[in-house]
Amino acid sequence: MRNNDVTTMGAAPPTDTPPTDTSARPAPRTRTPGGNATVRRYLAAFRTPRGVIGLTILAVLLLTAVLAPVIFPHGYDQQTADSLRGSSGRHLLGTDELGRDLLVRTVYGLRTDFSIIVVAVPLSMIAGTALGLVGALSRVAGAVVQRVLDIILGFPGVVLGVCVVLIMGPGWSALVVAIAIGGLPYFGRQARAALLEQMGREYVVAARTLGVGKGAVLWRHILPNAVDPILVGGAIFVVVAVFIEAGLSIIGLGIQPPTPSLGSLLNVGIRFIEQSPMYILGPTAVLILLSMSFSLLADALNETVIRK
Amino acid sequence: MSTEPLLRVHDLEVTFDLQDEQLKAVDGVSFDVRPGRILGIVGESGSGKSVTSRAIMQMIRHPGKVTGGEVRLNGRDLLRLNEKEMLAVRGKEVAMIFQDPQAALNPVMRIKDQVVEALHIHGVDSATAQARALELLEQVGIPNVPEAARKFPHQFSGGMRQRVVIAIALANNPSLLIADEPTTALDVTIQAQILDLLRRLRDELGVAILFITHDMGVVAELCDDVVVMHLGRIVERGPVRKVLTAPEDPYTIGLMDAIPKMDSPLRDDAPEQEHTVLEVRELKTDVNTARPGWFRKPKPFYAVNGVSLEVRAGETLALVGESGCGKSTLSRTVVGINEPAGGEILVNGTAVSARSDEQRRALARTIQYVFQDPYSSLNPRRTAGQSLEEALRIAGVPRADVRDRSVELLERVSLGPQYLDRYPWAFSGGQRQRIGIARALASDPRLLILDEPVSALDVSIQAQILTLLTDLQKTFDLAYLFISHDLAVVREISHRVAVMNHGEIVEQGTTEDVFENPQHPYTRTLLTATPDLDKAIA
Repeated sequence: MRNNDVTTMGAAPPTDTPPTDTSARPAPRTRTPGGNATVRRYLAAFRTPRGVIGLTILAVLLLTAVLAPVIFPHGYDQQTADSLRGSSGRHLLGTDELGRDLLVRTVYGLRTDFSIIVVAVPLSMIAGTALGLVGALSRVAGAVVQRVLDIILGFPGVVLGVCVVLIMGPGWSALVVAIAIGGLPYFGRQARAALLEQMGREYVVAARTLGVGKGAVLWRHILPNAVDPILVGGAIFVVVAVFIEAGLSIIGLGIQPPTPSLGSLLNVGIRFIEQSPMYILGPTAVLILLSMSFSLLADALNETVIRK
Repeated sequence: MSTEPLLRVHDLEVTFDLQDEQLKAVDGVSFDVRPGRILGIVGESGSGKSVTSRAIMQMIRHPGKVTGGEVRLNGRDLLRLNEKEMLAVRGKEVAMIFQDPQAALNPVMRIKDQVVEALHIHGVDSATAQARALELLEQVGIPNVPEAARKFPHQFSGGMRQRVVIAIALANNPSLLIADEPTTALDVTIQAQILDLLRRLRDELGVAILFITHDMGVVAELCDDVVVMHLGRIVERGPVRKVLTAPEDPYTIGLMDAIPKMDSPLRDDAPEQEHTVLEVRELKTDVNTARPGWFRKPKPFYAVNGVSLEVRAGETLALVGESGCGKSTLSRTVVGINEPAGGEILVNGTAVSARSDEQRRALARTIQYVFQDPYSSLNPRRTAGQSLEEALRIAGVPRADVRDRSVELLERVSLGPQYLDRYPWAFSGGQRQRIGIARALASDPRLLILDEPVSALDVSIQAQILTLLTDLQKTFDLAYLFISHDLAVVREISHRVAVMNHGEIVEQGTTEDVFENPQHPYTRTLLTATPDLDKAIA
């Protein structure tokens, strides 16, 4: 064999002597006293670029919605003779079919939707996740719950909403319940999928062989590792929730006119899209910003939590 | 040896552009591959051996980049070719064989079509390709080709699948084969067959092979020449026999020392005592749970079929067998992950079962499990400290003492207290396995079930973990049920050996008896198939 230029280096014999192992990646050594490590890590998400942007958008939207009565003290039902106008100095987003300012109505609509989402989405998320994870405690219960969720999934959101409204009567609480139930199969299945995946993981098996009880395994090992897709799903579900609200509002079972909601604005606006394309701009933009802020936050959370 | 090199790699440099640093994964590597010869590139994980092979094919993944050097194939520098020209080289002049044949084959294509596809890409017409595909499958030793050619990959065993991958690689008569750990995922007996096949192809077709592996035994059996890589550089090179018998570089010397040898002295510290920690009697485990219908019972499949064995205090019983033989199912049945379908498990003389959480906890005080891959058996969301805490709390340690006991556990496995707050990803493989062992020790068990505890580790780390296990055994009078497919490791650590095949134990005896005087034909097959460093180079 012809001799090549041998590049030899003074290599040390292989070692894995623990204290000075170079192959291990440097770990963050800061240990802030107190506070749960998991919570601390979740909070770190809000310092990533995505987290900061998402949080900023959300904060602006939330502040605007909360302060709506202060910013627009005249309310959302001030009618003028100028109906379906485009953007102008007086009406930045134009006016609707009754000549009401669309900027004002969009902000108030956001306010309405926030009040629904803030309750309905977390409710749906927690209940759905809990239902999806039942299978960890009892196999039979898990299977039964899934079939029930399948049945709910079989109903279109609006039909389901109609059923709820028939029982509860129209209004805010009926909307919240309708949205929460509508989201159950969504979160339930996601949680179930995560559960089945986690059950096969070796650290879950390891915990079981240690003698850790089913409940503790679920709480400590399965849930923390299953929560990310559910959080991301929650961010996406916000948009779905607005559309369920819209569907019910437009058939008169949800938010009652003249109170605006993003959903009803969109639904009415689409009918006037030929005369006034500006109509749906405001609600659409707000809806996109809303879902984007949640998606960014969910993404940031994902990024901080999963490190390969 | 006057032949011109087919492949000449000169001063190759590959840099990974990481966020905060430039990592030179391959740093000034040079070697030649000649026609009809097999060059082994050997090294531990992270040594840059796979990156080198990918650089030759121009298949380095982002953020890696070739930053210098030449790769000359028949005098032509491959690094200067553009992607289109490279497509003509890949598969045609240089072909690759991958580690995992299952991943390399398309699951929804018949195997003949996959070979034909490889021919089509390089411009062979249909009729010729069909005929040539059958010829290739024949050549790599697939039995009953006309029928087998119509099958799908999942209908083949791992070894047969790897043969198909090799057939695809050979399709266009490449002058160079690059094989990246092609036998690592295979059982020893299958590995022996694949190595035979590669040797035959070299002799019959005169193809040159670049063989990448971490296994010195395989190098000894197969390769003509070898280069040893460490941290991106070649630390030693030469004919196999010279490098393996008289290594000069300190790294190679250390590596050779760390490899368990088939002729090293056996353990002579078999415990005197007769106390039996674990006894398994006629154990059966049914692993078929798929119901064919609502009213029909599933046909039982016994992965463990009437196994009896016992482990005494302070001794290591090794359970040896190839994948699918039921050794892991057996151990998992003992700790209650699988349910037994028959037979008895006795711990310290009392029959136990692990159906409820309560029973499981009681069992966990005596028997603990150490998993093969510590990366997957540690929860990625929990620090080492949290994992230990959980085990300690289960073992009944009061909350106030947990921290002190955790530090103590880490000390037992030679880790410092600073590791408590680290997450699994911040540990190296060896350290992670130490954490896994520390966790198993939390309840002061009498028996550890070690399920391939060193298979996922580099040889040098493997040697350290084996030493650690031996020390722990002596200090705490622990009994081990050591599950492994690696006979050399088994020979080094065990007092007694049980050989398992198709769910049954075919031979059981002291390590010396089983290795020196195997009775069952299967044991003999296993022993011959195991690559033996010393025999190969003697």
